Amino acid sequence: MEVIKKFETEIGEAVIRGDIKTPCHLCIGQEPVAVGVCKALRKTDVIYSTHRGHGHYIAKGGNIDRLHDEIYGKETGCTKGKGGSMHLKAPEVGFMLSSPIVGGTIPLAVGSALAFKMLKKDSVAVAFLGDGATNEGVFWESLNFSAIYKLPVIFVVENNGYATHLPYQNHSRGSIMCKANEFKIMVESSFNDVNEIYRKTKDMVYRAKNGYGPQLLEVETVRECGHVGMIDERKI
Amino acid sequence: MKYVEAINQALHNLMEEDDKVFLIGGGVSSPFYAGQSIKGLLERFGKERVIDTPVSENAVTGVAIGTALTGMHPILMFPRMDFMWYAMDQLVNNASLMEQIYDYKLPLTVWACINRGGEQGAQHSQALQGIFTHVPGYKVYMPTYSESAKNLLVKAVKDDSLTLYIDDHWLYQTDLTYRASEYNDDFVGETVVTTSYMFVEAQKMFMNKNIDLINVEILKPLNLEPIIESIKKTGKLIILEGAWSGGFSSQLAVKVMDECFHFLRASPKIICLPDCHAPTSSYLEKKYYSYSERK
Repeated sequence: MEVIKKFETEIGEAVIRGDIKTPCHLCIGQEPVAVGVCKALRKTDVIYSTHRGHGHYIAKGGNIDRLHDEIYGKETGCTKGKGGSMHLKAPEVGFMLSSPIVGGTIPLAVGSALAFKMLKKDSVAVAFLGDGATNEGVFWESLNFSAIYKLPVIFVVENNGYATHLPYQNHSRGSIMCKANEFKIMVESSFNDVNEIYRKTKDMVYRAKNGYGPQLLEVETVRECGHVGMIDERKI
Repeated sequence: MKYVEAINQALHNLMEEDDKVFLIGGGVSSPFYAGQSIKGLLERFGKERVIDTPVSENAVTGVAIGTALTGMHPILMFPRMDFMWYAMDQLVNNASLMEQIYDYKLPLTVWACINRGGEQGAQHSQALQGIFTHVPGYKVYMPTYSESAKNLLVKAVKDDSLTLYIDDHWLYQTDLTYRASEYNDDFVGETVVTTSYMFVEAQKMFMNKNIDLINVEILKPLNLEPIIESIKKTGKLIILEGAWSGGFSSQLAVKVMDECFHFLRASPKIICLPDCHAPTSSYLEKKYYSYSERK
């Protein structure tokens, strides 16, 4: 967690200095989710991440130098400088990819879970998403699809209370747990505590791998910075 | 062999040869949606490999991409292209980026059908090849002959990269074969380029005329060579496309002018659908699709 915080702080400062141009969505405050979830996974389990993906990349075991180089637009970066902060990958440790289209990676995780089922592999797929993404149609479609086929997928909702600048009460009616309950998906919720998140993810991995179908973990987390970079648009 | 039987045979062969290949999409187990092209697949390969999905085009497309990234080879079917708009986020923002931005191989075959006519109206008729020749990262195949219907589907799957394969229901009951152009150098004539079903229209439109007919089945990557060679002989180009203007045919005309402007004796002519949506009534529909009258 400290590594992630230090990395994000350095990146945030480099953005302010003007050394980095690519939009960097920092995850300071949300490190417990990345670490707690990824510690409960094996290398063969895959994760799909979002625009706020540096923490997931590091927690899953991705090479930090290659992440750093990618953000600086270098050829030695994890996507050879073509991706930047928002398009990362480290398939060697199961970090499939991150992408900034809100909700866009959710069905990809469902697809990996379907492939695991078809190939009879003992793995799970994890989709990280924010509270804002739960309003995308593709989130609902993915919950329904994965529930029908009882796929080994875990949806991790990092509820930081904001969809970019918009607070939860202005972007959603009903809780995220209610949304998932409708699909008979097993739901857990957690505070922003790494041990609790780890323990709950461990249980969910067990259930997902043993035929209980998709799982959803909602974490009430905190975004300490603004939507993008260090400057907090909520305080301007 | 009929066009539709060729598709069906290719699917049977591909799924038999490689158990990583599977069919997924809304309606893939129902002949009502997918026609005879999917005949016998469900019975033979089971619902684990013929996955008839809920009507969630966007998520299902994402799911297909996810399986392709995780060792499988999906054939993702859209029984009507009109419903692909729902999936455009996944098709454009995810699928097409995988190779170019993420350096992933994406063994995904997208199989889309143009299914129009018979008073099906504006939202059961669209031909969207131009959208996908526009987006980087797609190979676009549109077979006309029965043999190509089979070979191009096999090629799409075996290439292990993102390919859009578009068939046309108006060709399903045909059995067309390739024939060399009968252009006579001694007389003046025209180069006529067609795609998909327009090959059939061209035969009617230019009956007894001296044309050098070139039917393009691989729209992207496009091999311009034969077209340029032909224009060197004829100096004239007519492009026939069963889609709206501003798509593949416009781009082809520009490319031709770029490559061999000095051989052209007239500006290229494009004959395509009018700049409006397909009407429903048979009377209007006939006018909308009757190319020969529009020439």
